[in-house]
Amino acid sequence: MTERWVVGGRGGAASGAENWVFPTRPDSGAYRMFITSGWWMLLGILYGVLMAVYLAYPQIWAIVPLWLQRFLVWSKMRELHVQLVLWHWLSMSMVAGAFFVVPRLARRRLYSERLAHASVWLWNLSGFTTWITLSLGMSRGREYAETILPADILLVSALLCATVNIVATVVRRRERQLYVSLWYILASVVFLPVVVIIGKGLWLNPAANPYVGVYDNVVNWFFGHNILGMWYTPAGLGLAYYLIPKITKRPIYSHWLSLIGFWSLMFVYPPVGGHHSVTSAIPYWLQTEAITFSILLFIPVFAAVWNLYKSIQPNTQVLAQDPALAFVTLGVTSYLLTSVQGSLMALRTLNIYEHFSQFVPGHAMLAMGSGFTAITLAAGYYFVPRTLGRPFHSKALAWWHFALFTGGWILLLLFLQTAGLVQASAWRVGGQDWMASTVWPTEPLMWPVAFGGLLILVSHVIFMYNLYRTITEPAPAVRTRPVGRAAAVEPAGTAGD
Amino acid sequence: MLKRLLGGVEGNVGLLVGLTGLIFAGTILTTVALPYFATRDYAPTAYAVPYTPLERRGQRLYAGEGCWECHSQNVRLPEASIATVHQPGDIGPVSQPGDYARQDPVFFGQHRRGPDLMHVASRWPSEQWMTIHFLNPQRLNPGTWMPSFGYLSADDIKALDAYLMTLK
Repeated sequence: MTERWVVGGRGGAASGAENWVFPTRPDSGAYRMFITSGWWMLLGILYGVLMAVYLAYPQIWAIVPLWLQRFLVWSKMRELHVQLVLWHWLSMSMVAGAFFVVPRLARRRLYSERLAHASVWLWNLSGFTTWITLSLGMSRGREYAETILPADILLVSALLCATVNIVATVVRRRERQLYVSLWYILASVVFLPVVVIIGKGLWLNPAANPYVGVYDNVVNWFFGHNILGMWYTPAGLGLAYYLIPKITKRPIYSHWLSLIGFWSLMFVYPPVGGHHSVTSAIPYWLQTEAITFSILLFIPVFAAVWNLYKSIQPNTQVLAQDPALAFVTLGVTSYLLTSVQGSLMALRTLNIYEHFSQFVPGHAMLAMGSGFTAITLAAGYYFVPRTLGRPFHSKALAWWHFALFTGGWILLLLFLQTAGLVQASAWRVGGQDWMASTVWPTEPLMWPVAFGGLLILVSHVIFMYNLYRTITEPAPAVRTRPVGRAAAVEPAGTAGD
Repeated sequence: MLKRLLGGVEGNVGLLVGLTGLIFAGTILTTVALPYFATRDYAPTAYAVPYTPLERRGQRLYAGEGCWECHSQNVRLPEASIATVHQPGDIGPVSQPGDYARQDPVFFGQHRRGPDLMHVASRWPSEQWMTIHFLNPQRLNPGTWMPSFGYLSADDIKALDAYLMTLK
C-alpha cells in the first residue's frame, strides 16, 4: 500500500528516493496533518457517544468489565473527549488548513515542508501521550488543561514548529499585502504558545501546577478561554475568510468590516476568561471586567459574521452546489449563535441560573463541534482535492456527510441545552432532592443526545471513507504525464490504515 | 486616519504582530498579573485545612480520576439559601476566597452532574457511607450518574474518603 504511493509520488521533478518520514513535496504536510487529525476526531466522537449513552442509562456501568472501567469511567472519557477533539482534531485540522492557505496568500512555498512534517509527527505523538496518560489517571485536575508534562511538551513543540513555519513563510512572502486570513492565522499561531505556557505555568513549575488557591482558577480560565479566543476563533475565522471568497469567486464584502472584526476581536476577546467563575470567590472586579468584555464581543462577532454572510449572499446558489461552502456557512452560523449565547450567559443574572448545568457543555459544543469543526471540514473538502489534483471521490457522500452532521448537531444541541434548562430551573426552585431535580428528569433527554452523537459519528465515518476512496483512486495524471501538483501524490501511509 | 493606520499595518508582519502583542499584553496585565497581587494575601479560613499524607493522596486521586468533572466545590453568593442536595440550604455556607487558600489545583468545577462537595463532610459525616457510596452508588440512589469506583483499590477508596472528610 505504502509502496504504491511512494512509487506514484516519484513521477515528478523530485526524482530520487523520497524520505517517507519527512517528505518535501508541497502541501504534503498540510495533507498528512489533516488526514491524521480525522482519526483523532473519530476517537473523540466515539468517547462522546459513549458518554451520552452512559448519561441516558447509567446502569450500563454494571456490564462493563472491571478491568475496562478504569479506562472508561465517565470523568476520564470526558477529559479524553475534550482533549482529543480540541487539541488533536480541531487544532491539527486548523494547522493543516493554515499550512495550505498561508503559502497561497504569501505566493511562495511553505518555508519548510520538513518542519511541517515534524509538526505532524509531534502532534500525533502528543495525541497518543494524552490518550495514554489521561486513561491512566495522570491528570492535572484543571479543566481544559488536564494533560501532564510529557504531552504538554510534545504539544508545545509541535505548535512551535508550526508557528515558526507559518511566520517564516509570511515574512518571506512575495505578496506585500497581508490578506485578512493571514492576520488571523498569524495572531493565533504566535499567541497560542504564550497562552499555553502562562496558563499551565510551565516556566514556573513544569512538573506540577504552580498556582494555588483562587488564583489557580483565575489562570485556569485565562488559559481555558484564550485557547478559544486566541486560537480556535481567529484560526477558524482566518480559514472562513479564505474559503468563502475562493469558493464563491467573489471578493470579500467589506475590507473595513474585516478590519473592525479583527482588531476588536484582538482587543475584546482575551480578557473574558473570568466569566467562567461569575459570582464565585474570584475578585469581583475581575468578574465585572470579564462580563463587560463578553458583552463587547458582540462587535467582533457581528462584524465578522455580517462580512462573511454578505460575501456569500451574491452567490447563494453555490450553497447547493458545493458541500464545502455549505459546511463553512454552517460553521459561521454556529459561531454567531454560540457567541450570542456566550455573551448573554456571562451576565450575572443569567449566569447564576444556567451555570453548572448541561447548558454550558451544549454551548461549548455549539462553538467547537458544529462551529469550527464545520469550518475545518470545509477546509478539508476544499484543499484535499487541490493537493491530490483530482476531485473528491463522491459528492453525494459529501452531501450525506453534511446532512447527517447538521442533523446530528441540531438534535444533540437542542436536547442537551434543554436538559440544562430543566436542571437550572429545578435548582432555582430549590427544596427538591438532588436526584429528583437533576438526574431523573434529564436522563430521558440524553437518548436523543446520544442519537445525535451517533449521527455525527456516522457522518464522520462517511467522510473518512470518502477521503480514503479519494486518496486510493488511481490518479490518471501521474500515469500519463505528471504536471505540477498532480505529481505530488502523497505516500499516505496514515491514510490507508 | 484609523483606516490608514490599520492599512499600513496590513503590509508589515512586525507591526501586525507587535500591535496585537501589545494589546494582548494588556490582557495579561489585567487578568493574570493584577489578580496575582489581588489574591495572594487571602488568609486561610477554618475550611482551608492542611492535608495529611493520606488526605493528599486522596486529593491527587480526586484530580486524576476526574471527580471534579462532575462535582463543583463552589457555593456561589446567591444560592446559599436555595440550592439543594436534599433540603434547602444544605449546600452549606457561601465559599470565601480563603477557603481555597491551600488548594492546588483548586476544584471550583464548571459542572454539577453530581451535587456540590464544598461542604460534603458536614452533610455526610461518615467515611463508611462514603465507602458504600463509592462501591455501589446505584444502591443508595437508583439511576444516579455516579459510577461505581470498585476498580480502585481499598487503599485508594480510603484515601478518597479521608480527603472528602476534609471538606467540612
